[in-house]
Parts: sequence; structure tokens; C-alpha cells
Amino acid sequence: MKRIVIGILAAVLSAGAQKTDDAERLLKAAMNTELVDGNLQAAIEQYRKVAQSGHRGVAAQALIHMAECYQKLGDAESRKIYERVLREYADQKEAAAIARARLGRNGASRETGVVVRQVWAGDGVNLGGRPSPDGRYFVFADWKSEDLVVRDLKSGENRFLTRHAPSGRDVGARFPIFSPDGKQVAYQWHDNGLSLRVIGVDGSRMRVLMSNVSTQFLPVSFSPDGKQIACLLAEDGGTSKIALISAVDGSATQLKSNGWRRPRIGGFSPDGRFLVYSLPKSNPSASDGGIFVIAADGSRETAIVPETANEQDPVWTPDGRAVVFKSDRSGTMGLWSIRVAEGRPQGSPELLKASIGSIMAFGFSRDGSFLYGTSNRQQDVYVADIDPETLRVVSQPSLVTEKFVGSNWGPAWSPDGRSIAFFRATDDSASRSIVIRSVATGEERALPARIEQRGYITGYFSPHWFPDSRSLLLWDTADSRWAFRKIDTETGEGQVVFETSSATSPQARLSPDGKALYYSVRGERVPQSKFNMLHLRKRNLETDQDVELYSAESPGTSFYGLAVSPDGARVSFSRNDVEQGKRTLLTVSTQGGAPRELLRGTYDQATPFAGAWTPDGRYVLFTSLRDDSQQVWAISAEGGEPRPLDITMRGLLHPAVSPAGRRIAFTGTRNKNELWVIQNLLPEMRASR
Amino acid sequence: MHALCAVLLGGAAVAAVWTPPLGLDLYRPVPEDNRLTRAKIALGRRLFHDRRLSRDGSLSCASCHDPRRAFTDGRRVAQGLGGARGGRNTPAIVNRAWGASFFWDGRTVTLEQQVLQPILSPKELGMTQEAVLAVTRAPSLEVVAQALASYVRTIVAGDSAFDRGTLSDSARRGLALFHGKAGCGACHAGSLFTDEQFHNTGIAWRTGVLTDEGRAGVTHADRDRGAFKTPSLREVARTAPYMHDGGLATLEQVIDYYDRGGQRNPGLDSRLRPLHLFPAEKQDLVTFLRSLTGRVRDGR
Repeated sequence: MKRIVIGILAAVLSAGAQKTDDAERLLKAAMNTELVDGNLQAAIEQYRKVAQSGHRGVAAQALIHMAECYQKLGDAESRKIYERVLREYADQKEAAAIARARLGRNGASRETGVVVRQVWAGDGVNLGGRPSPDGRYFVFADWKSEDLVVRDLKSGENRFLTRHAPSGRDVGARFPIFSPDGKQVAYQWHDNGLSLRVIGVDGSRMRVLMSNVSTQFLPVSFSPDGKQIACLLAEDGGTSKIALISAVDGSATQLKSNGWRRPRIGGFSPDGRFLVYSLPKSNPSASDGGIFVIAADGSRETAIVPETANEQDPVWTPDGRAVVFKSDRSGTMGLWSIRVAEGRPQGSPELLKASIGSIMAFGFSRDGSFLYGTSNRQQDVYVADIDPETLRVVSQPSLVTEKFVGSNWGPAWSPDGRSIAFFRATDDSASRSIVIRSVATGEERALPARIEQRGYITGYFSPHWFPDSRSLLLWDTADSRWAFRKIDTETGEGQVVFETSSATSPQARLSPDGKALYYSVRGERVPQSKFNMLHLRKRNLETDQDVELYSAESPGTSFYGLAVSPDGARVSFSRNDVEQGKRTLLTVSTQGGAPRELLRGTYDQATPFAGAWTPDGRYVLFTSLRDDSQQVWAISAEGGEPRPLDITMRGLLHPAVSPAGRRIAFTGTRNKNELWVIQNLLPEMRASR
Repeated sequence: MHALCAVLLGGAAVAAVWTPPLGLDLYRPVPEDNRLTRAKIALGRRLFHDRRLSRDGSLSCASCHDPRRAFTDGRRVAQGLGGARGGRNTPAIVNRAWGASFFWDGRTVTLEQQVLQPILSPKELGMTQEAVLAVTRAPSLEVVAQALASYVRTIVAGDSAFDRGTLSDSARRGLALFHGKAGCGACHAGSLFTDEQFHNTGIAWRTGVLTDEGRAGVTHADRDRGAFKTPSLREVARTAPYMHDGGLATLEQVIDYYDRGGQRNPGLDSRLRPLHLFPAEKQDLVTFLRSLTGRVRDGR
């Protein structure tokens, strides 16, 4: 008897399950008609049939969709259907909530439009982290100590999760992310090698998931069940891949390789089945970029938004029905959304908010608020008069141009002293141009070719003049190859003078006669290390021969502030030893030989950074990085005690003395980070208010 | 025929979640209109080894793509009907599921397009379309192509010492050279050790004149004259001889060739230059390349 009852029960359950499956299939077909075919009338009829299926959950969903179709058609029938849902399907909580919202029964006092609100501003804003799932907290790695900090965005209090003793070495946390329950933080810890760690938000229960990792990695998102962490891995040679790391045992699954292109991973879908990411085109004429959704089990991948412009930073909406992303497809950077079902696009992208500017999209918190950061880096070129004999500053620094204030950097005097060249950002889409300004008249002109079209490296560098005062040295990269180009400032035409490979951006300076190029490159990997060898070389541009002037095998070493003496006999540069926490100012003969140490500083003292020579060759100028401001210093080229110049400014870079030695130009930098939230960004959110 | 109909209509799908060899992506690209099924893979494997798919019944796909040789043939250039010599070396067809284009000149962009070409080529297996349909009793050539392509997608190679992180000291030094001084990683990039792009390394100019148009035969662009697709280096120690013409017999010869900076010609890839490798460095590079030998498997 018991067996018979079980058999009947099984048959009933089986029939019920079949009925549900059929209803769900019909619902999906109707959604397809609505969203893909765009045939609303036909979809309404299909939804009507589904609503009669007898499965209450699916029927309620069908009614909501049907009402939406009527809404799109401008038909008041939608209101009746929402009322029916409340009347007949009040037990179907999600559908009832939507219906209630659409009928405006959620309370009239709530705001219904898009609301943009600043949640964190001021000097200490650190956007190198992520918000908590509820949007209340923000975890980041402190700039100075590199410890983990959780900020309460409501109270404004910061709380350290880690505290490591200063060791004089580069040790600390990076790239923290919250777990879905907000109780843990995963992060990278670097200390010689790299490790992936998890720690409780109360600072307890730290666990090491992976240790002694030689591959650079970036944790991006926990899976909703907290069992996996999506990471971006950078392979040897610079290619990248998306990997899933077990948050339980640290085991890794390589999900997708991306070659030279670096994806921006937006995280798991709310159901945990998919990851969304953006990928740039492999080259300007390719059509392989855009926004992609890949199944977390690797079973398939779909391009949900083919790249037509710049599509970046995709994130899932809280209900997982759409992906929101940045795009400048309308001409300026805005926020767009694309509906997604089963990992596939439904319809076309829709504009949510135009002209959002250059933002870092952090995604949605549980209540539907969209969090983003803005990092406004304001740079200006300043000039001050100095006494060429004493280097005494005789006039305080003033802006070299009143145009595009906050968007100019990297000054370089032409050898004839008639012009000063610098970079300029011309709008919010990160485009760049080179400006040539007449010293005599102040007349400015931009180079004919906007430089972003070639992708010249501009960030921390300044252009460099050829001796003809007509051409500039710039360099760009493709596939880890670097091309140094001579750019004609009249025509904008570029001519390759030399190519090389390097793991990171090289620096380069010309000899005064323009016949040699001094450059630094990262070469082969230092054995048993995550770092590459660093070389300073002289390239004879007439014979194409290289001579090694200096190299560093020490892990974490970098060179800054490359400068050539006016007589071309010596090159000065700063050697930065991250592991030892020291910077050293060196000169080396352009004919080779042992380097000469001019100054050695540690991170807590005046430390040489950017560099330049005075035109008489007597002094090497450098900037010191100390606290929040930088100062220009001078040291005799023969050595001795350095002395400060009366020029101090935040982010002071690129010091350059005019050929007559009477003026010094430099870049001053101010970083202004802010965290913002947009409420009611999604139409559904607005409707539900 | 029944089997082919089953193939056409679908059949049991291969488990969505598969376990790739160490070093390969979990995501294996498969076209929406040719999902992997056990029936298609099994049929593709049978067809791959079926000598009736050559005009005189002497050859099959596997004659050149020998599973015992990492799916190559060990010959300088491919050998077709009656011992006819082809113009190019038989490429290894491991990990082609992730390929962006096929053949040394990239003239097809899907495996479904690629797999029938050698069968229908008069110089290779010499079949006609009608003969293929008669032998296979397939309702269309598309079915044959889908089955063969499905099978080829299951030929994967990974789980090497490199993937397991068990490199010897010499191989480790070789890896550093590979991505550093020697610059191999600029083209042999990523998990599959290929950028899937086309490069002129001068191999087609070794006699001073261009002996093979390469990619230009497809694009008709001057810049592509003598350019060939970067081959994957997975299992490279088992796939000698090397280059598109099989002109270099050993890995040592390949490294010597690149150490010289390739053969100068008007379109030589600007990345090639004399490397000035020391003998010990060359040996380290060879050791590293041998560490890319792992396990080759098919049918899953």
C-alpha cells in the first residue's frame, strides 16, 4: 500500500513538474516574442495563454509581462492586470511587489526620479577597493601603510582590518573585495611573492587561499554563494586570463584566455551562473571587442554588446535581468543597459544616463543603488623664474597657460628656447593632444594628429625635443613592442627611429646631437622572481647598435627621471628599490663604465624622483617625494649635499630648465577622488518608487 | 544512415562541464549551430580515420594527422595521393577548438569550413563531393563537416610540466628567455603559445626569393607576402620538422634561425633581430620547449 501511495505521489509530482516545465517554456517563448521579435500584440496573446496554465508562479510572471506589453503600447489595460495580480496572486510575492510598485502603492513620499548623491569626498578618498553588497561600507588598501581599511560610508569612520609592521619593504594588501554576505574580504597580499587571502570584516580569521603565486592576479568578484572568487590573471609575457579560485581550498580553474587584451570583469550574475566582462578590440579595425557574458561552468559565451565605440565596466543589475555598462556610443560617455536572459542579449542597448564622464563603475548595492567613483586628476604646467647662477627662485610659479586648466602636463623646452611643448587632455574621454606654445607670444597650437590615435605613452612622461626644435620624441606600444617615433610638429607625421620590447613602458631621452637614444627597458625575468631585469641602454641611431650602460637585477627595481647632461657626456637617473625602500640618484658616463652615486635616500627622506640638468651642466635637479608635497632639489653633478629650491607643490613632476637657464617649468598634480551613488537609475527602480 | 540522421538531429549533448587538461581554458568555443554531441564526435572520429575518404582508399585524415605524432606526420611537407608532395608542412591540429583561423595561411575561419578542404583537394585525398556523400551515406556535406569539426574540437593537449609548474632549472631559465631576451612570447603568446596572427619571419625568403605567398594568397596584401600563422607550441617537441615548409628539422635549428634574426626580406617582421644567444641559453630554450610536451587526448 505504501508503495502504491508513493507511486501515485511520484506520478502526481512528475505531472506537476512537467506542467511547470511546459508553462516556463511557453513563458520564455512569449518573452522571446516580446523582447527579441518586438511583436507586443503577439506576445500579449502568448502571455495570456501562459496565465491560464494553472501554475500560479509562472502565471503571475506572465501577467506582469503582459501588463508591461500593454504599458509599452500605452494601453490602460496594464493597470487592470496589475490590480488582478494583487487580487488573485497576492501569494506570489515578487510579482505582487512589482504590481504594487507599478500601481504606485509604495508610498508617495519616496523620490521617483534619478538621484545622484555624493557619499565620500575629500582628501582621503581611496577608490582602490570595492563597496560592500549593502553599499554601507567601502574596503580599500591604505595608500601609505598598504593595510586593509573598511570605511563606514554613513559615519565616515575608517577601521583597519590588517596592521603590519613597517619593514622598509614593499609589503601590503591590494585589490580587496567583499564577500556576498559582507562578512569577509578577499584580497591580494604581496610580500616578495603574492598570496590570495580572506579575512573577516572584524579583522579575524585570516586565511591564505593561495600562496607564493608568481602570477600577478586581481580578485574581482565573489560568486553569490561565496564559494568562488573570479580573478584576472596576468600571465608571463603579459597576456591575461579569467580564472575562478575556490574560496574554500584555493584551487584554480582557468576559465577563459584573452591574449594581449585585458578584460574588465564585472562579476557574477545574481544567480551565479554567468560572468560579465568587457574586452577591447584586438586592433582598431577588428570587430572582436565588446561586452561578453560567459557561463561560469565554461559551457558557452555570448557577445551581448558588440563593440561599436568604447564599451566598458559592465555590471549586473540586482535582478540579473540586465547588464549596465559604460559606453560613448552616443558621443559622450554614458551609462547604458542591455537586457539579458539566459546569458543572451534581449533587444538593443538603452541609454540610462548620458554624459556620466570618466567613472569607475562599482555596480549595484542590494537596494538597487548604483555606486561609482570619479578620479579627477588635475594637472597644470607651471613656470617660475630662477637665477641661473644661484638657482634662487626669483618669481613664484605661475600657470604657463590659462587654457584647459587642470588638463596640461609634461613640459619640454625646445632647444632653441622658442617653444614649450606639453600634453593636454582635451575632453573627458581621455583623448590627448600635444600643444606647442610660443614662449614669445603665448600662441598655442595642437599637433595635427591627435596623439590618442596612436596611443602614445603620455601618463608620467613628457615629450622630448630633437635638436632641430621641430620634432618630438614619443613612443607607443603594441603587443609588448615599443616604437620610438620622431614626430614632426608641423605635420604630425611620425617616423619610427627604433623599436624594442619591454615588459613595461620604457623611458627615453635623446643625446643633445640627436644621434643617440638613451632608454630603459624591462627585459627577461629575474630567476625565481616575479620581476624582470631592468636595463639602461644607449642606442646609436646611425648604426643601430646598442650599448648597455647599466642594469639592475634586483626585484622591484625601477628607473625614473632619465636625463642627459647638456654636453652629452652623462646620463642621470633615479633608481627606485621598492624592496629596500630606497631611491638613489645616479649618473653614468654615456661611454660606459661604473655609475656614480650622487644621492641615496629612503622613503621617509627626500628621495630623488623626476630629474633634469641645468643648461650649464653644473647641477642635476630632482624632485623629492615626501608626504603630500614634492619639492625641487638641486645637487652638484660632482656630488655633495643637495639643496632645496623654493618650489614645493603637490605631485610635482617633469622639472625642465629653459635653455637659457632662467626659467624652470614643471607639472603640478592634484588628485580629486569621489564616491557617488545613483538612486533609481534603472527604469524598473523608478517605476517601483 | 541512421547514425548520420541522429547526428543531424542532435543526439546526446556532451556534458556542458568538461574537465580540460591542465593549462587549457574551461571554456571551449563551439558554434551555436554545431553543439558538441557524443554521436557527432564519434562519427567525426570514425570519418577522421576512414581511408575510404580518399580517392584510392589509401589515405585518411589520420594519415597526415597521426595521433601518435601529436596529429602530425613527421614529414617535411604533406604527402597526398600517390605520394604527391604538398607545398607545406602538416600542421599539428591540437587545441584547434580555440583557433581563430585555419591552415598556415588562415584561409578558413571555422573548422567546419576547414575540414573538408583536404578531403576535396585533388592533391590530398582527392575526393569529389558526390563521392564523399556516397561513402559516408550522409544527407549533406554539412553533416560530414560538422562531425569532423566536432571531433577535431576534442583533440586537446595540455597537462605539461609547464602547466604543472614542475619546470627544471634549465626550463625555468628558458621560460625567462622565452618572454625576455629571445622575445618568443611576443607571437607565441598565451595559454596556447600562439597569437593566431600572421608574421613574416623570412622562412619563405631563405633562398633570396619568395617561395610561398603565405597569407597574401588570401588577403592579396603586400604586407602579408611570406607571412604565416604562428603555430602553437604545445607538443612542439613531437611535431618536427618545423616551419610552414618543414625546412628546419630540429628545435635547435629553429632557435638558431631566430638567433640570426630570421632571413632579411622587404616584409620581415620588425620584431625579428639578432638575439646573440649564448649556447647555454639556446639549450635552456630547447629545454623549455620540450617542457610543453604533455598529454594529447581526443574524443571528449
